[in-house]
Amino acid sequence: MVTNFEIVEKNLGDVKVIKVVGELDALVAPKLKERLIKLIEADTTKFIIDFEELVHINSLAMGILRGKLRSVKEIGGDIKLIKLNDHIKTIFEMVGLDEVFEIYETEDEAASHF
Amino acid sequence: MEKKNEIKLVVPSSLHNLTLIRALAKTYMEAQNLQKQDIMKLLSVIDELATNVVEHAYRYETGEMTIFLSKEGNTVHLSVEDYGHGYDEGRMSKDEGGMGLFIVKGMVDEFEIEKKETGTKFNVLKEVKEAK
Repeated sequence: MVTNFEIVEKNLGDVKVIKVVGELDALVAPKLKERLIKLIEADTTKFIIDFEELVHINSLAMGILRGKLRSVKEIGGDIKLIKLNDHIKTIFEMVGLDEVFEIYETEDEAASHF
Repeated sequence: MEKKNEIKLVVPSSLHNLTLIRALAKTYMEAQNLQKQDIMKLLSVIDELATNVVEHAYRYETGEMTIFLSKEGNTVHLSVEDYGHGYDEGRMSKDEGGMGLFIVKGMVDEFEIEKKETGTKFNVLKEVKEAK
């Protein structure tokens, strides 16, 4: 079965910007988790996750992000989220994750808050 | 007798089928002229419930789920039914889960868990608006 999911990465100084494209469901969420684990093992601690092209997110993926946020905060890092569409913002608010993550409109705004 | 605007999807229980389930449900809801916000919410609900079936009802083993969708007036009726292990409130999801049913309840107007002799049926009602 074809999945509509892709991770696009770039570096912004010492910040890793991860653009999540498509549908982040329970099948593909572990791929994001594995990638974050690898990056954290390679000493990346500052992340911006760009949701501009994310059209669907499952609770498992949100749980993974919450877990990784905890991990990087313990080592002085952070995961900031940008460009959530209204639907995804609503889900984050529903489960209280809008108060757990710093959420910004733009990459520059997020980067300036590390 | 089935009504003209009802559909029933019978799908093998697998995370690999989630994309297909969402795509079919989306096509149905677009054909019913639902507004985009309601479609997005119902797709999240269907996805969370179907994931729940794979994870909890069949515990990643072989099984089948039936997804039923219908629209009467401004109300969408959705049910996701499995024939696996019964629903158990006490069964904790893995650390990363646990938010799924919470999201479902927040997205719909009525939510009911029907425990059957074999398996569970999740029933949902949601008031919707039509696209302009």
